[in-house]
Amino acid sequence: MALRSCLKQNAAHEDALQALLESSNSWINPNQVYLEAAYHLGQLGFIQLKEHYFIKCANPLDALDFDNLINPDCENKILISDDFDESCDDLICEECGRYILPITQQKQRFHVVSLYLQKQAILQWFEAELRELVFKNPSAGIYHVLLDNGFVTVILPDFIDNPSYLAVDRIKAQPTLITTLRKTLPHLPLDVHAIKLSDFINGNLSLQQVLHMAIEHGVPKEIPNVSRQILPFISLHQLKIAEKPITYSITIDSEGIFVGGIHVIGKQAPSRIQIFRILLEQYWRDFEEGKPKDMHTPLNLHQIAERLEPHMGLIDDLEQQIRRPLNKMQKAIEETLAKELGSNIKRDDIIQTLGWPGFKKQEYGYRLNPFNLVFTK
Amino acid sequence: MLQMVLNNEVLMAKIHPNREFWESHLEMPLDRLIQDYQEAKIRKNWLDSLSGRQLGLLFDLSMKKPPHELSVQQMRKTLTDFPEELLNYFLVHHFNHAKLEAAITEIAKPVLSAETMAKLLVKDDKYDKKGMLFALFKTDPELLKHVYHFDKVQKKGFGSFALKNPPRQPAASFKEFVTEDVVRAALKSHDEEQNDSFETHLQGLFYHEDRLYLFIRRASDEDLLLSSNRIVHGHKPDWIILDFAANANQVNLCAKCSNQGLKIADRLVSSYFDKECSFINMQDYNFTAQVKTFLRSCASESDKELKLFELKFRSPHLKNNTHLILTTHPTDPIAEELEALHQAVGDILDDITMIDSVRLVFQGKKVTLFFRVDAADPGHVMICYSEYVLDKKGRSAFKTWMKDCYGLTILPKAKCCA
Repeated sequence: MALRSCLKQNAAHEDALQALLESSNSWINPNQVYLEAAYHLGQLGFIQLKEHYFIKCANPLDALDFDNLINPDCENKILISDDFDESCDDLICEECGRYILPITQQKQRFHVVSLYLQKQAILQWFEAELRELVFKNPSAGIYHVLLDNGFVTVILPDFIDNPSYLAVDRIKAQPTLITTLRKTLPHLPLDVHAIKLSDFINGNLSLQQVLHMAIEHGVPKEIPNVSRQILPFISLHQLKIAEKPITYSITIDSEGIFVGGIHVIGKQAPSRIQIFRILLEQYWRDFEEGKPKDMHTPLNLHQIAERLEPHMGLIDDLEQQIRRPLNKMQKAIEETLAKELGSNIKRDDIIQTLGWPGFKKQEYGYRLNPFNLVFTK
Repeated sequence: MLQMVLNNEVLMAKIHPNREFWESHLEMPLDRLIQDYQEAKIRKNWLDSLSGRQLGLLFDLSMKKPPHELSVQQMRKTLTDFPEELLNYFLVHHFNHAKLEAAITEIAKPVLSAETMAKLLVKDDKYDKKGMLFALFKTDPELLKHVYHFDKVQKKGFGSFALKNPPRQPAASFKEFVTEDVVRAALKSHDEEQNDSFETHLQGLFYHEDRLYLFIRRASDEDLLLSSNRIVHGHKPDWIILDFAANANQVNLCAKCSNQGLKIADRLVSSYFDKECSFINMQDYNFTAQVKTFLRSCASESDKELKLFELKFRSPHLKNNTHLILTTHPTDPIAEELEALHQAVGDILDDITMIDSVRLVFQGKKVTLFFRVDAADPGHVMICYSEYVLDKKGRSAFKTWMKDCYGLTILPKAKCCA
């Protein structure tokens, strides 16, 4: 009798492990078996665990709260801290805006266990299991394993980033083993050998065992009357975002000035281009002298005017002829880069304004930002 | 057991500072509360609901004796024997309901002694709300009015308006110029112009952290209520809150009918600058590409402060007026669901014009962002957010985060609807 109970417990634990791995998201009020399985996976490093509580704004089970409802259908789940104390903490529903006293009104709390799959840890564990074998890892989630009697391709479809490895023609080439987090596989056009990753974790099967089973199974054969080019798995990889470039390249050609490949100043604004060239010349001099970045020389309006005169003739209005084009250039660069790259470009990222006349007399003016620009061919 | 019977007239005489303060300024149902207070059971339940910290303070404030040598039970017993002395604190207890800790602390910190505040510290930087209110009431009942007003500032959404063609600043600052008399005169002129038989009342005026706040009450929509089984017809009070910049060039406005509020704000600044002035809606658009970067960053969880969990969108694969709402549990990643939907509806985050709103978690609160693409230029997007969800500090942190990390300017939703 005791043995049967123990077996039942083990089966429940295995089911819970499988369910948690398959759906590594938030579980509301998980039972003890699931909680223990989650802690077990957490100890193995396969998942990261976070626990918190919430209350429901309108919950039919909260009898003491009935009279206070504003919207009896408000289904908002409101996060509540473990140490919530009505004497100093406030709780307001974000949807109906009502003030809630969760302790006075004895609101039911829901326990949420959020699981974050640690893909890298699982892959490392899997590779450690393979360590006694000869294998090659051509792409994430793909392993070519050499056994005494041939090669087996092991595919972990939940972790791949190159879906071409799931192409039917590719899989048909040699014995293949699909190892997945899922309990049931999608409808496949091939009779490919597949196992659950949780079976390895539970120790129900050894890797050697299943690899030999895959060899015995042989090359996957197509199931008649099923037409698919690729196996219908969706990898768990995440969205990649366009990161803000840390440095920008500068190009000047007949069309104007380009920053980071984006056209920022057109050829129809020759005075701006000329001012930019002067700042660039100064940048180059400082660069050649090997000055530290924070010591690059800023040029004030008089210095820029002096250097502009050979190209543009007499400068008699510093504000109109230099400061205005410079400010416009800073604004144009900021806006164009924000618009084209979607990055949070600051006004000083390309042309820097330093100090203020009279504040620190020697250190004011404009310069190309030495921290964000690089020389490229 | 001897039960003390309280006389209504005796209790009325004990009300401090006066009836108008509780009924009109703090908008509390005084008669009903006094009736309740006459019930010994309600008084007992009230004293039982107070924590040791609150009882200690109450004992200290009302009995004028230090509570050190008494146990909580003894204090409770002693206080039960002096119900008349506690009536006003019973009212303060009810005033406490639904007032935000942030609002009370903001008023209490500069007023109460460090020693009192230390006694009221519950955890981290959070103080006992009821205790602070008891202490504030003892110091000066008028401070409860400030709490009442400041609580509204924390809870309501404000539209932001800028002065059109701001004139040169006069010698006197706006703060010096705006006195209660000046505001009352402006409100009187406003009522005369409206000619609708309603009186606009100035309920509060105070200067806080470089902002000048005006709290005004005016009758608004018609309504009715039952009083002793008789229908009383009347109007709902509408609060108009004006939050002026120190130089009067910008104002945040909270009002059900923003038109009335704007007229009052225009009138006040016009008399300050001695010139006809008007406030206009602030127009702040963002570049589409920046909004995309922001959404991808939130969806992929590379932003640790913001957690995207809901998207309301349309798709070119569906009818134009069909909306899909994708909601995950706030702690679960939405990126996987977006990836799963990719084959069916394409990359949702690629076309901002198709996204109506998103919801995200910031500082444990669910904030909604609404996107409005400029009809004249689809490259520009206006973003409004559900400001009322966050308190004042949270709003400021949210706006700064959006500006510093993504270069985005967000506006309160109140304005979006205006």
